[in-house]
Amino acid sequence: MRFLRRSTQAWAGDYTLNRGRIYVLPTRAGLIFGAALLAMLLTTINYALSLGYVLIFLLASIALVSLFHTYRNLAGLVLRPGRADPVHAGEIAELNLTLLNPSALTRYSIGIDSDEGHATNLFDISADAEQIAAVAVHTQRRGWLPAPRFRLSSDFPLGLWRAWSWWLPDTGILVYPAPENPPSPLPHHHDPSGHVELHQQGGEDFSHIRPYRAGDSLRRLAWKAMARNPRAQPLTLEFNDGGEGGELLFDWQHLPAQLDTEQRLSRLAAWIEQAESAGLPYAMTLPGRRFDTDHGPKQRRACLEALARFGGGASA
Amino acid sequence: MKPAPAPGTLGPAPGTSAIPARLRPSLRALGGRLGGTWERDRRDTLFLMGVAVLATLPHLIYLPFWCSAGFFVLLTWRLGLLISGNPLPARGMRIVASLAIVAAVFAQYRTLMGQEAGVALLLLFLGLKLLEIRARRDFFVTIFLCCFLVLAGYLHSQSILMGLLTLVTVPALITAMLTMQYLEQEVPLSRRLRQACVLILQAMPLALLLFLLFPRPSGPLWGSALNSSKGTTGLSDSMSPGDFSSLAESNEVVMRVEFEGDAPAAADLYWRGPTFGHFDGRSWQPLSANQQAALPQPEIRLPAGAPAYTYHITREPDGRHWLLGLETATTLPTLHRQSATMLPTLDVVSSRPNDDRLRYTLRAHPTALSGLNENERSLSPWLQLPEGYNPQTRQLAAAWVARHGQDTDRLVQQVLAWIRQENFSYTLNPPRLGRDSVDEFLFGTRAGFCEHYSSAFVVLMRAMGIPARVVTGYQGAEGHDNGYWIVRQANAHAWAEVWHPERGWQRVDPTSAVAPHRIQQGSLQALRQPDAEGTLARTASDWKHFWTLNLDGITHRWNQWLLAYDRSNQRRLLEGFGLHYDNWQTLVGILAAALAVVLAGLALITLRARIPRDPLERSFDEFCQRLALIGAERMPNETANQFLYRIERLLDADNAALAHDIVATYNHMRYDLGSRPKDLLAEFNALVKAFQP
Repeated sequence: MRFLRRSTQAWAGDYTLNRGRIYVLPTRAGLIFGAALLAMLLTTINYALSLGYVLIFLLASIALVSLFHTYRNLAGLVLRPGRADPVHAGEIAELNLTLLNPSALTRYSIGIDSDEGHATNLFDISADAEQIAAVAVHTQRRGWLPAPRFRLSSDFPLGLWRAWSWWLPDTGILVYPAPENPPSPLPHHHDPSGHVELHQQGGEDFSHIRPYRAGDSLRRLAWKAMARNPRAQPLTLEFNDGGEGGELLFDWQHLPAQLDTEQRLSRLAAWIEQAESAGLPYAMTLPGRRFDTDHGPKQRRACLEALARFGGGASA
Repeated sequence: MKPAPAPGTLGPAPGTSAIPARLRPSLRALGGRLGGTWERDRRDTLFLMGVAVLATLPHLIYLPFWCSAGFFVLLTWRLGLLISGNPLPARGMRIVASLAIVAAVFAQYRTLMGQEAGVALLLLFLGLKLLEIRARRDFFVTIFLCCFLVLAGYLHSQSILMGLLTLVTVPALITAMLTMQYLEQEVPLSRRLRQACVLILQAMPLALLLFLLFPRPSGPLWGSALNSSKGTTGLSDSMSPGDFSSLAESNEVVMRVEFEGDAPAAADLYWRGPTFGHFDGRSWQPLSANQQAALPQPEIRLPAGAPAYTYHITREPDGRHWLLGLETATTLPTLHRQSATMLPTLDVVSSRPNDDRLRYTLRAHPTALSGLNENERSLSPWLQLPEGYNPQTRQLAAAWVARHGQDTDRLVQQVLAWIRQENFSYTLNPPRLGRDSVDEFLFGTRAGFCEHYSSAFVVLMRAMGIPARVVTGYQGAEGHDNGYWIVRQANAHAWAEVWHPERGWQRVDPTSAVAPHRIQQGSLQALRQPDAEGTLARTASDWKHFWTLNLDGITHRWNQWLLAYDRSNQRRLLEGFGLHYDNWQTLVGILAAALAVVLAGLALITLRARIPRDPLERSFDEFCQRLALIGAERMPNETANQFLYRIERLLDADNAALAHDIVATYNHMRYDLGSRPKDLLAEFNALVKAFQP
């Protein structure tokens, strides 16, 4: 039954629930009610109960009319995809979806769930109002997780019919690698592999000269180079393996060789979170990319995003 | 069954694993005693219990006492748990209770099948079900049980009162169903009721169509529809003195009659029932089957210009075969499920006992002649008299024959004149008669009513050698303002027919000789009291009578249009619309077409009606659209003020001032007032209209 689980193209922008997008079928209670009415009809015919005909036809008509009401409860709703804050793999992301009701009709008991089978959230949406639905999405792997397909459904008003509509919003969740658990100590506290060291005196592994940035240590200024051209801007000596003493460098290359890619990403992610919570500035290198020493939400976001998308951003 | 979220409450639907957030506080508050305010679950459950009581109300009267009592015990138990907040009874307890119920019902009825046992079981299981309402599913089951019980109530009675009760019960049932669908917030009961009524009103046209056009089957699907105990009052298969006095007590309606055009005079309304020919000295019986078989087929001759009456009868069920009609019926009624035939004695009978309310049409010619094809042999049963009974009567008859000769007309006149002249009286409480009942009546007591007079008259006639028979049925009718007549059991009557060589069978009503007003008023009851007293009593009860008649008018319409609605009505209705059909398939086609039209109309009403939006928003949208035309589109997340700030430099001074006013008024109405006063709205619309960037 294609229409039950129709695979739709991801829909960018507002998605209006209109004809052709809403399906209606009886609920289990509706089927039982139908069977009960049939049994009642047989009784009525057998005993020639005129009032019985009245009752049964009235109940059946009410059930039928409630179909329109169930349909109407969904029809015309506008769904607007929102963003989700990135989370680490294995955590639950909260995707914010906006449900707009551009009509004079209050919508009762609208359920929203995803086809991953999470608990149904229920909402009432007043006339001409909007409701933000925070839908929990389980994440498993790092990378860009496209939003799952959502199902909006309603049994209102009598619970005899279920109207539903599938919606695949063109949005998603950036999932960072799961932090290593238990976390490895930060490289300057403990270094079991010896690849990453804390440099008390910089200079051994000189890499290149770059323009001075605020915060660079005066001891690392490229005095000699600057002396050759006094009018030039200040220059800083850059070293391969980290900055000045006390600064952190999370280096892909120097991670233990036995770790595979995902384990490396996890360790880096764990370090970033540790450094962030300790308020320590850090730099990070990945094959072909480098993040200069810094800290704060911006740095964290940039680094974790790079980890999430590493290697083409394995999709979840 | 899912574990209960809390004792005595309604949990969320199975399938929604989380308890809706708004329910949580109420669950927490559970366990509070009655003093506190009740939470939603308990109120909902209480409402459902009320609905259950409504649905079971009719049964509580008809079922055995212990059954109703048992239901109330279960109900009170549930109510107690609801108030105290104690947990519902354990599973084992419920199983024991259900076994006890089954055993008790079996002990009462010796079966678990059948109407009454089934209803008793349903009722008690409903009570038990109330004790295990936990999930939404239980709520549904309870409501379905209630629907069944409402239907089963019609097995007892389909009166107007039942109809009215249904009119209350159905909205209550629908409201109960609605109640459990408001999952997120609780909506006031009045709003829920209104919503239920909207649903019902929208369903009405559909229901009406289905009622009118759904093909009605021709008979019961299984078994016999009626218990044989019905139909104990009414005409009987034999006539003995004293029979009709019990009918005279009864105001029960036999039938209602509508005439097309004029009605005959009340005194001419003789509704013919069974004819009796065999007299054993005490009671009258119909002729034996052999004798009947020997009778010639009825032959009716219509004199030129004979008046005819066409009329419709709505007959109450009485379990008998006789189809009462005016004398002399010249057509046979068309009935579905059964056929009608006319016996040689001119009685019209149906092929099946009259178990359902019947509606049929007849045509009568009061002056028609019948029995002209009788011969000596076929007349002989109508001369039978028991040997050795009533010698005095025979003597009197012989004396009259000697005086008048064998002239039928003169002999009939002689008997009637004699009854008029002698001291005969009419009473419903005559003294008891002995062995020679006719002798004792004619020469002794001289007090009796139609049975005595018709019986004595026929005996006299036969003794004089004139073929005669007793005819029973109803005489007269009560006129009603709405243009129909009511015939009640109190109209029961017996009269005589004598055979005339030239005119065939002729009706003679000897009772009219002694009590002419009995025939004119057409009711035995009218004669129960002496006249003076009767007049007084009548004025005093005039109002009561008036109301009784009006109520009867409504009952008549109810019976006629609702309860008696069947195949033939269906056919007549559709033929009124010019639709003729031969089989039920065509009828289904007509029904489907009509349903499609009504459903399309309903879809239009329900799906389009609520589209109009808040007039304020609509106007404001128009404002935004005008701006969009000049390239100033409002961003989805922009407030009105932010939008204005961004775009005002695109406008000239006039429009900028207007835009400021528009946004200020919009914000004021939307956020400060929260309402849409008409004058402000009009002003707002004018501003938007004037805004032309």
